This record gives sequence, structure tokens and C-alpha cells, in this order.
Amino acid sequence: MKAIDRRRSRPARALSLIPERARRLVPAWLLSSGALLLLGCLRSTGDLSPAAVARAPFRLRPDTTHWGSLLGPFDGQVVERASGSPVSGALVVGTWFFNDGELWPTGIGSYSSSTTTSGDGLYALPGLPSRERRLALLRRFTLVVYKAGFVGYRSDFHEDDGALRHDFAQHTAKLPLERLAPGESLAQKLVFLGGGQSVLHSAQADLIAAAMELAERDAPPGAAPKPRQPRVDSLPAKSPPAPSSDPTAFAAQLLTLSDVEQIASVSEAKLYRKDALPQRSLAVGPSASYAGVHYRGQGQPETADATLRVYRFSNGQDSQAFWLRLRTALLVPPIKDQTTSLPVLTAPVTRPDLPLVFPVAATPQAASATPDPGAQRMAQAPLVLTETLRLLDPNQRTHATVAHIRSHGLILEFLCGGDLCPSDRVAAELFGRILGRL
Amino acid sequence: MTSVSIRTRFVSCAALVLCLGPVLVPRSAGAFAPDTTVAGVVEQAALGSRLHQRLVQRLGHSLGLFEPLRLDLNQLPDLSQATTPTPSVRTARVHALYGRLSGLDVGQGYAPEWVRTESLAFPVARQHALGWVAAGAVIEFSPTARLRHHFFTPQTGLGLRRGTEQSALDASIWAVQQGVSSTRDLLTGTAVDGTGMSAAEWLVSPENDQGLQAFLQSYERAVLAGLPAERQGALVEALLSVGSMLGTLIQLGDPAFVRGDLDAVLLSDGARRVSARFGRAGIPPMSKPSPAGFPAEPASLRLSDLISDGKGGGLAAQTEQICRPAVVCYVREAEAQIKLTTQYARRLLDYLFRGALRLVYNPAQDQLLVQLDEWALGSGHLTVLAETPDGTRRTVRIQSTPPTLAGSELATVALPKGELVGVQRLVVLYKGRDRHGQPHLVSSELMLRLGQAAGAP
Repeated sequence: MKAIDRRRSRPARALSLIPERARRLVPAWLLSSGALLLLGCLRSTGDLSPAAVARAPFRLRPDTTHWGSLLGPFDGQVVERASGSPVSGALVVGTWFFNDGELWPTGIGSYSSSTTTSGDGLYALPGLPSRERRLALLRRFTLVVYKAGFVGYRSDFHEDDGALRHDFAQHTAKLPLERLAPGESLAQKLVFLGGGQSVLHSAQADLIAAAMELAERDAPPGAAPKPRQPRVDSLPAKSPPAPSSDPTAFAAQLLTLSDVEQIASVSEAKLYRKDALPQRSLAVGPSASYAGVHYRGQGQPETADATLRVYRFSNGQDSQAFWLRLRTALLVPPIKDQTTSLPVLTAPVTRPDLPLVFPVAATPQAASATPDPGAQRMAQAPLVLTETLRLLDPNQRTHATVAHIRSHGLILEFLCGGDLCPSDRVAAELFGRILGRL
Repeated sequence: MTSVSIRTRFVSCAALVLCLGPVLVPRSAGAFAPDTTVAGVVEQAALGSRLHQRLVQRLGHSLGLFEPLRLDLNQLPDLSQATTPTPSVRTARVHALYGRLSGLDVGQGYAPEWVRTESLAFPVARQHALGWVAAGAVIEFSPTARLRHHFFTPQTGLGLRRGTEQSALDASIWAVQQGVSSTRDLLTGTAVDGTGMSAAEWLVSPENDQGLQAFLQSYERAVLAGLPAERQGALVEALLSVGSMLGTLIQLGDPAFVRGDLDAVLLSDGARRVSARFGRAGIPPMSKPSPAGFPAEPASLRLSDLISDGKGGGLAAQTEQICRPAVVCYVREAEAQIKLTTQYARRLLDYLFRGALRLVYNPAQDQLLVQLDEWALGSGHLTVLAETPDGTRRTVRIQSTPPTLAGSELATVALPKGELVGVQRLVVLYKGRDRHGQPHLVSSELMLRLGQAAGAP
């Protein structure tokens, strides 16, 4: 650390400006108390000490060189990047952040306001309310746009290459949203987006999908995320989904080795081996991903085995189409003697504490926002099994439970041998554990 | 000069600094900015680490990094070492934590949501696990005086040191001028006086309320506490401590912090350029596997090795070697330096959550088998807890364990079925040391089958 020259010390120099006589006459305690009182007055009276505002890093409008204002208001249009068509129902969140303006700044707080885009993709965010202004430096304003199925938008950085964004403007801004391509990391998108609880409340389904993605990745050393690509103006060609480093990972996360060994060890401890399970010969399409796990009992017949296949689709339509084909394949040829179709399984699929679903407008930040009906519908809907199928093959003594969760584009196919699952109850319990981890 | 005139000058200086400080101070500096660069590095390191897997397997949070967790400040325990806890200490801690958390930027994604209830003095904070880790990293720099303990000079192993020509008073006044300390700190003698612990010492120091010791205490409570809300709050505290340790480590990727140069930290605009270039959202994701040794166990590893192992390894040592002159790490090599820093942050996360236990319950023999899957352990003791369907936990066994190699059986615990009536889950916590003598906690959970929970054969 460099030494500081006493002679150049600013307070000392400032003190030397006060006449020696005055310093003798005015007691030190009175001088310091007066200064403190004056500063206190300045701090407590907004009119005397207007809050500072940092320079905005964005323009007033896209077609001008004048700088905009961090105070707002903000308006513009959200469009789809590839087609230029407006995106309606997107959540737009603006956040103002204050710090103390010191050389080493400390956060003082922030204020958020949100709205949703109209049918024309238009949005209008009011300026920072005067009651929310702080006696601190307004350091930055960040605008975040979220809509399910899209990458999302931040007013400060590009998502694709992490470069600084220069095309945001205070008024008449055109915010391009890019559709989420298959194979792109949803966890990275959510982390990039930030945006606070308003975004997280609307992105419940994406949060679950991101958690699944991280679970699929399993051990990190071999699981490198897709590196950022250089940004291009046109829609880049999308690559097919990257294969998971371990094809069993996600399925093994839902049905663990401990689950199976625990169920099997009724009279004596039994050990199992985990293998990959190939998918059925049904074509799943390029947008789907698959994970399958086969637990084989060591030194035991096949009727002690358990398998789980998990198919994930990018949307509910694709999963519905596959469900119909899978259902047909399972029911024909008719080697099973019992079928049941239930609209909703009464398994404990919702979380008892801290529910994952919230209405969009329930938060203070979003209170002024126009609720997005689509987002609300999605947020308020519990995790529901769209269709289920429970089968028994008496020849091979195998229980099968298949479920379709259309809202998440998920199909689960669970098979349990008769020695491992001697009754429906045991099979249902294991399947309940699988659902509980969703 | 008489003592009276010295005091007069001192008080007058303090008053002038208070009034003129904001005017005199240039507005242009900072090392790796906590609210952008550091938070971004923490997020990418967490995404690349095994933290998600650990949260799922060890603590039963199926959404892992995206699991929403609550922190009820009204229930925050007193962590002081005093034999008779005083309410004022606890209240001060709650106030401080609330102040630090409520200053965070919502737009960056790590600020918690505050849920207000009229019956509670403090609102309940809610955020997902990843957000809590990032929040911990940001609040490590608040109050700013904590910065003095973030330095490490690889050649000497020392932290921030004052020049011989500079007095403590000069350094303190200068710190107030630069906004590192407040006038109150100056008057009470607690302002930054140009010295501090080294980062390696700070991570494990009992004075650090968000260091390794706080992490271990909180993690232990996150497993052992009786009620689910207590455990969740304790886990949040543990994650905040993890974030704070990451924040300390990440600063050593900034060359100014490995040269003991507070002037450079405060007055150089190099790291400000890094913040402007990458922000939080622009921090590049990890593209390479972690350095050799993880997750497999290296021959020897201590927490301080991540800073400097004495053989040229460690983030501080590598930063010191690579960043010559310092400016290259702020401009041309900034991305490479950030990636290196992210790798070390990931190693720290994997280190803190190292080890894995596997549980198998054999009802025929009334035994719980505890298998050690990863990371050799030294001696310690094992606590077995039983959890009922309402989430309440009680301790059913505590037994000591011998040193054990990875892949071996750690313990066999006799657990008659009669003791498990109404139990839904078995939880095990190992507390002790690893083979290298470092404090270590590992936990695991096992959900019992329906028949066992009901006590049926």
C-alpha cells in the first residue's frame, strides 16, 4: 500500500483554510456539532438535497443521440426477433437501483414496477414515483422482459454473447425476443434474466424445467454448457439438443438406487446395479429428449428389476401426440388384463410448504401491473397429471404406470417387477416418490 | 503541538471529512464490483458445481439451486460465542442482516422478496437457493470495512499492510474520505487503518460472521433442527455464508488484492471496466471441466490451498503470476481471468459440499447401513435422526465413527423397527474431520417405504 503524504491530506488542507483566530474562538465540539446538524438537515430534507441521478447508458429514442433519463417513463414494443411480429402477454419488469454513490458503493435499495405487453406488443412503464426516490444516487435502471418459450431480454446485456447492449432506448424502443431453441440451457437463461421475484413467479414451469436440466447434467466435469455464440442479426440455425453426459441421469434422479434397494430389502439387504435403458422404438421427434434407467437386482431374476423412462418435449402438443402413440403401443397387442385411465392421480404432487405457484399480481412490485391471463393461468395451475395408465402383465408379473404431464411436456413410464413390487400399493408408492421429485 | 490542539484538529478534520468528503471524492473506482462481477461469477460457478446435486441428495430439495427457501429474521438464532446470549447481540445481528439484504438490487435477480406479516417485526425473506448464494457474495462487501480482510500477498501470506511512513490515523482518515469507513468508525477507532487479516485467515476466522465456522454451524442446524422452518432458515444462513466465502475468494482474481494495494483497489478504474464490460449477466459460463482433482479427491487439499498452496497453485498465486502488469487482467485478458476465477469459485463450492453418504435400511436385521461414497473421512460422529410426515425431526442415535476410506462402510446403526413407527424419513449427519484434518460435515436422507413408516412388517 502506498504511503499517504500528510501534507497532502485533504482534511488538513481544508482545515488550514479556516483562520487560526476563528479556530481558537470557536470550540471544536461546536464546529463539529454544527457540521453534523447541517448535514442532518440536508439529509432529512428532500427539497434541500435532491437525489442524484447517474447518467443513463441508453438513448432517449432509437433515432436520437440525446441521452435518456434513468427516472423514466419507458415505453416501446416487444417483437419476435425472427419475424418482427409483436409479442403479447410478455411480462415487462423495470427496476431502479440506488446506491450511496461512494467510491466503493453500497446498495441502498431498489424499486420495481411491472406490466404486460398489449396485443400489439406495446408496453408503457411509468417513471419512478416520487415517493420511491431515495436520498441516494440512482445508479441504474434495468428492464427485463420475460415470456415462456422465449429467451428473454435485458436492457443492459445481450443474452447470446454477453455483450453490452446499446440498442435499448427510453421511448419507442423495439425489444426483440428470440424463441428458446431446443437444447439451449434454460438454467442459464433464467440466471441471465434475473429480474426479481416478478419474473420468478411467472416462470414456475421454467424453474422446474431448469432444475431438471441441472439434474440431467449429473456430474459437472463432463457437463459443459453450450458456449455462447457470436451474436448475429438473423435467427441462427439451431443445433439439435446436446446429448446428456449420462443418459440415465435425469431418470435416476427421479427414481434413485436407494429407493429401489430400500423397497427390495424387506428380508435381507439386496444390491442393485444401475444401467442405461434404451428408449422404445417409437420416434420421439427432434425436439424431444429422453432419459431411461434400469435397476437390475444383482443375483436376482428380472422380476426384481425396475425401469423408468422419461420423455421430455418442448411443448404439450408434441407430448400429446407421443402419448397417443405410446398408449397404443402399450395396449396393443393386448397382453394386459387391466387398464385404468384416471384424469388426475391423487398423488402428493404439490409441495406442502412454500407453494411453487403464485398469481402474478400478488406481489407488491407487480401490484400495479396488468395481470397476464396466460401467465396467471399457468402460475395458478397445480402440477396435474393429464392422463395416466396403469397396467399389469400377469405373465411376467410386471406393474406398469405411465403418466402424461402435458403442461410440462413430460411422459413418465415406470415398470416394476413383481418381486420388487408385489402389490399395486408398492408400485404406487414408488411412482409417488417419482412424482414428488417433480 | 499540545494534546488539546491535536484533539481539536482531529475532531475538526472529522467534521470536515463528513461534510466535504462526498464533494472531494472522485466517483470512478472499485475492484471487482460485488453487485455485478462478483455476483455473476458466483452464479456461473454455482451452475457449474455440484451444489445442485448436493441440495437434492443431501437435503431433499428437489429443485436444487432453484428451490425457493425462506429466511425468517425473527427466528434468527444468536451465534455469538458468549455463554449467556444477550438479546441485544441478536437484535443487532438481525438489524444488520436485514439492512444488508434490503439494499440489494432486485433487477439482478439475487435480492430476496420480502413477505410482510403484521404480527412479525421483520418480514420473511424468500429467494431461491442460487439467489441466496449470490446475495451472500454481495453482502460480504457490506459494510465496506470488511474489504480490509480480502487481501492476500502470495509471497508473504499476509493481508493488507500499512506503509511504514503512514500512521494509523492517516490511513483511517483516508479510508473515511474514500468511503471505506464511516465517520462513526473513525470516532470509535474502528475505521480501516490500513491493515487487515489475510483472506485465508478471514475465511476461517471466528470474527467472520459469514465464514467457514458460520457455514458449519448453520449447515449443522439445517440438518439437526427439529422444525422444517428452522432447518430452512439455517440452510439459507449456510448459503449466505457460502456466498460470502466465494465473494472473498473471487476478489483474489483481481490483481489489486494480491499486491496489498488499497490505493489501487479504490482509485484504479481497471475493475470498473470489467464491471462495465461484463456486468452480472455477461459473465461467461464455464466451458471447461474443473481443474484436476474434482470431484475426485486430491492427494491433499485445504481451504487455504484454493488461495495459495505454496507451489504456485491457488487463485491468488496464479493471479499474481498472470496479471503482470495488472492492467492486462482488466482489459485484454479480462475474460480469461474471469474464467479462471470462476473455476476456483466452483472448486470452493465443491470443497464445501464434498463427500456423499448412501443409506440402506434393512428391516429384517433392524440395521441402517451408512456407506461412504466419496471423500475419505477421519474420525467423527454420526447423528441419526427420524423425521415424521409433518417434518419434525428427533435424534435417535449418536455414535462415533472411525476413519473411513471412500467406498467403505462408515457405520452400521442398529435401529429396531419399533423405533421407526410413524417415521417417514431417516436422516444422517456426519460431523468430524476429513482425512486431511479439515472440519467436515456430510449428510444424507433416506425415505422409508410406506410399510416401514406405518410400522408394518
